Amino acid sequence: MNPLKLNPIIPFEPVRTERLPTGPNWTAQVKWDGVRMLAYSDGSETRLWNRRRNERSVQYPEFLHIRSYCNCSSVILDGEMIALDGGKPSFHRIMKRDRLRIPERIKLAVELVPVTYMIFDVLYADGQWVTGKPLAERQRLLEQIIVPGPAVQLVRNVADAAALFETMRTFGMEGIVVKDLNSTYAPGGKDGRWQKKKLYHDLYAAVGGVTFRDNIVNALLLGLYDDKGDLYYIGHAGAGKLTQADWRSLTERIAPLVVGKRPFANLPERHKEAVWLDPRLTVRVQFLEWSPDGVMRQPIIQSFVDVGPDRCTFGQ
Amino acid sequence: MHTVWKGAISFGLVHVPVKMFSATQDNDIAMKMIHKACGTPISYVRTCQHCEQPVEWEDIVRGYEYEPGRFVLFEKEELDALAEASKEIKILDFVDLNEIDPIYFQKTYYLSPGDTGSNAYSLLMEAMRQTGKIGIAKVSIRSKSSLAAIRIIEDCIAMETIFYPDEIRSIRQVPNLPENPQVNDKELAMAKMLIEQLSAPFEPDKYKDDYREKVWDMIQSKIAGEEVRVAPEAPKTNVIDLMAALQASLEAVKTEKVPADQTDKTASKSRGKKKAKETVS
Repeated sequence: MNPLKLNPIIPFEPVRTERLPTGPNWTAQVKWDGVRMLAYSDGSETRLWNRRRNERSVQYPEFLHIRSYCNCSSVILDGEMIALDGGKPSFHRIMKRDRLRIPERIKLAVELVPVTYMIFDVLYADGQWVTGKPLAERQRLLEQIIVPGPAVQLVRNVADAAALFETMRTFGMEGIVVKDLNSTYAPGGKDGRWQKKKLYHDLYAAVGGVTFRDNIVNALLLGLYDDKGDLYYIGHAGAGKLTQADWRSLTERIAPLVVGKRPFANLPERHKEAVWLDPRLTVRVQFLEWSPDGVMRQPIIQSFVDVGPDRCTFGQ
Repeated sequence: MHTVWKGAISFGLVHVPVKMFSATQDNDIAMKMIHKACGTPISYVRTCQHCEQPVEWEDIVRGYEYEPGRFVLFEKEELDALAEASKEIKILDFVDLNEIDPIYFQKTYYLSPGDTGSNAYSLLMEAMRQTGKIGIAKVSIRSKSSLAAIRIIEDCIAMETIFYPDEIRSIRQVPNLPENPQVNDKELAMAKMLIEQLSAPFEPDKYKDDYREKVWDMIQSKIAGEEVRVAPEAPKTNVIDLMAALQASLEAVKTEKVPADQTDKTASKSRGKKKAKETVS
């Protein structure tokens, strides 16, 4: 069976937790903030797919020579593509690479936006599915087949989840994932065998309005859809990771989206100065927590993203 | 070749229609300015700092700064009216070539016979060749008027624009030139012998542009995908460094904890379970 002939698998997702499970079967790992990526190889050709089953082989060409980091005749690997900024993984920075389409620019970006593949699981190896094996065994297999290097690393286990979480807080990183060493891998699944604890929340939101200062957009009014399809205002965010140039180009991009009618079902506090938009633009926004009145605390815009507004839901 | 100008050489009553072509080209490798982060060529916008907006060409005029910040303005038509755009190369005098020092030569153009008049062209060329003389001419091309030398290069009439005398800087402006140098006879004899030994006929094909060749080679390598690695100025933070830092921090947090944690680990070890290596990544 050739793994490349398969329909791409949807990788397993952890559930969110506040309380960390304890017990000898639980191990903790750094949650690397980047783009989830599965690498499929039949020994001669390698292709990369993200969690949405979109191919990303073109965007990360440096990982297509799988023989340089994996000595397996055929394999499906699961991991995260990350790019560092200021010494730690930055979603904003990996998006610079993930978004590219033109081969010449991608070639340049391989040097300018170096990416590391943080591998944490294997689903298929040497002609056999290993998803039925316990995580501990799959990890031992990874140790055997993966050759780490500056661009490819294995995500390792830490016994003390609380200590690791504190380390994440110190370093300002995303959080941890606690995994059951006895658990099998369920493609397309999402349950408690993997549990994530994050230092902050992030989500995809739609831009329903903007405010201006000196003729440049200076804040975005963000919203999420409920299951009835109504857009609710969840907060406004300024600056963030966007540069002055980003804000200026945004000012131009929103021009065709301006509408007269407020798209939000509820009334944002800045409604008087707001210019309403058809909510087609989407962003990934990071924030500390929800306030009691359903608004994000300390929202920081990470990046503009290509997700449809239909994914900007409360249930995401 | 692309025709740069059409007109005629004139002297006295003689009128020789000609077409003008650039005789030289710049082979330097042209590169664009590119934004490092995304690979897009830089674009330039004409802006007015006072009005804080981009300015179109039709809103731009020329100005001469006669005092700092004060200008007298000129519309293009005013300047054009002043130039004698007569479309002719007017020869004023004929001189000997070796009377013109190379410092005067600016840019060379080839002249070919115009649409009607190859007879007049050949006549002028033969006459100049046999007398060995060079014509000094005034030429107005577009709105710029120049001085030029008309001479024969192989079988072609050529025009060298030359600098006006006030555009040539005086030798006297060069600092530290020796006055009345005293030279040792023996050393002079040796120097002269060295010059004799290195003397050769001028063969320009012998000389190559090494730098340009090296740049071309590097361009080809990059295109072919053989990445040319240049030593990095400073090591950038990489994931391995980060992992090491996380490990160090984790050790620090752990050592502050109660020994109960240690029992946890040893207990699971005694159960014979083989744990994956315990480092942070």
